[in-house]
Amino acid sequence: MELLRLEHLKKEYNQNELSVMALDDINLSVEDGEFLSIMGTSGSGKSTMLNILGCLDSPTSGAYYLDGENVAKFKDEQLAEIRNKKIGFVFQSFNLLPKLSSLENVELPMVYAGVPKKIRQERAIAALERVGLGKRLKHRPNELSGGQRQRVAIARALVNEPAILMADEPTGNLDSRSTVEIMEIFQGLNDDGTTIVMVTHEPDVAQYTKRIALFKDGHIIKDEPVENRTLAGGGSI
Amino acid sequence: MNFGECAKSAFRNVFSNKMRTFLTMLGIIIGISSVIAIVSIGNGSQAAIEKEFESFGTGSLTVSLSGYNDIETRDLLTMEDYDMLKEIEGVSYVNPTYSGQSTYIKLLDPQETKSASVSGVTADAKYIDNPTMLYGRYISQNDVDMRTNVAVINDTTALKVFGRCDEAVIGEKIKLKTWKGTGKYTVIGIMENTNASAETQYSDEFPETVILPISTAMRLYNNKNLNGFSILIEDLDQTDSMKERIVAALEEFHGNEDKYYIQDSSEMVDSINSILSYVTLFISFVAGISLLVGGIGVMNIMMVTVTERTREIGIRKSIGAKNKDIKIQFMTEAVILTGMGGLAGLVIGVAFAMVIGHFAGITPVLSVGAVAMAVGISTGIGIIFGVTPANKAAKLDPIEALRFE
Repeated sequence: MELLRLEHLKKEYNQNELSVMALDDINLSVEDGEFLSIMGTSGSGKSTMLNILGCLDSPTSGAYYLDGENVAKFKDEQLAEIRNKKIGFVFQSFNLLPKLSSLENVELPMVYAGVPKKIRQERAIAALERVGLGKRLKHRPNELSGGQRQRVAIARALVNEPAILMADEPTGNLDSRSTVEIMEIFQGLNDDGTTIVMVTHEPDVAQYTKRIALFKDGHIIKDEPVENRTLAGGGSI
Repeated sequence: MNFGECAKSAFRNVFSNKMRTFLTMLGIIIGISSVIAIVSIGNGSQAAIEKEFESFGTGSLTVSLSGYNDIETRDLLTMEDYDMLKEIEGVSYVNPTYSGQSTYIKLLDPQETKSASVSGVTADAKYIDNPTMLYGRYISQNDVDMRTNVAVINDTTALKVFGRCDEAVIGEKIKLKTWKGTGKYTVIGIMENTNASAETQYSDEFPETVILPISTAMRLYNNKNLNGFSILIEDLDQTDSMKERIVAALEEFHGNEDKYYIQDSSEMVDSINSILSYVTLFISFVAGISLLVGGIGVMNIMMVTVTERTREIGIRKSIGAKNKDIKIQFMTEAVILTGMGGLAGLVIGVAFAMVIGHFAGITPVLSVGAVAMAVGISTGIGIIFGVTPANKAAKLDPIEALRFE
């Protein structure tokens, strides 16, 4: 089943009467259960792509169908709702709230979704256990390692059971061991049916995914399945 | 996001920087506490003044010689005026105002004397001054007619002279000494201390008060001239016309003009109250400016907070917070800041009023209206001065906000 589709999508930035076409006529389709990586050099338009896919930004023109709805035309409030219910974000710099514990950070999306406190806690604990942090519920971000912080962020992204997980350079701030750990979690989630779109500029990391879309100057110049996929559990296919 | 979550998170943020929170609240605290202190003291003095006049006799008219014009012998008020005034239609009771000068009373220790406030009355005084009798009886018409040597004293006098205040004091004698001579009077009644005499207003202690039949007092002081009269009229709605009628009668009786001054107690209460309310209004205005400055301080700090927490706002938005959620969050923080400032101001204001009241001899009165006003104004300031920063936070672009370092 098709989960998202982009049709003739354009994003233009106007700065000082100088217009920059960040994304130019993008057509892309992602099926349910895919694990796609978006690659490209800086300035290739990959971050803009992820912002639009993650409903943080709206395209200048074109259509973006997510779960059957054209969200390209959505207003701020509707986009917030989509971000809350259908999208889970994982960022390079984790973006956890420093004053809140792991549990509270993971609860936050459910707070905005209006989930009652008791259910919220149960689900947050379950999500943290799933990423292996069942014993770190009360810890604050500064009491955790980088890999652990990113796992809290993944738990937060998953807790509202989104249709798709968006990851922006999720391993950019991590050492190689943590990188493998995070990829193992992603692969596990994907095996369980979670659709993941990940932006990265590291070919090694992209090798963990199933499909790579290569961006250059606002265009997709290559879009093909991954051969010799790396498995975080060890070995490759 | 429900209100409980919002308030909890707001409290957490407000308390995470205690010093800043305290300094921000200070303007509100100062403003609210001064308003509360002033209003409570104002209400307290108003209540005290009204009570004073109540014990003095509400609705009574006070006649006195006008001090602005030269007084001749024929203008002086005597008991003849009293007899004349009593006969005026519409007058229910008349009591002459007659107080003795430099009078001393012998205390328990025979070597000691103390200055006492002595006044002469007619039997009507009990309807005008409303004394509360603790023991015995008040001055009767017979005492006035027969010029008996009897006295009604207040409980302070009983304690000072006899060392006790009970039934047994009735029938005992007090000794008064003036520059004209001395006199011994049998105590026929003890009345409760009242605030009625003006000189007690600013002291904690009630003076020794002795009340004699007017005829007896005149003999003691060898002086037949009265200070004036207190008059109770039948119909309070006729106050103005009665004032004219009484003054006209006195002027006709003495054959003079513009020598008498007549005032009703409600007029005095009104004029004092209006002065008080102007003072209260003026100081409240100054306090209001302090609240305005406090509010601007809150707005300033909220602006800084929004900038500092740009990234947090971006994170919250990225996980689904709506503009409205962000706006409510910052509004709540502003209202908590000012609301807590308001409550602290309320407590400090009451304490301040009690301290001032203690030294000024006024019991501050804290009205429900003043409390509601303190809470209302402080919350209102939070809302008014919180809107702009909260809107700024709500309108931040999530992508820009997430990039903020």
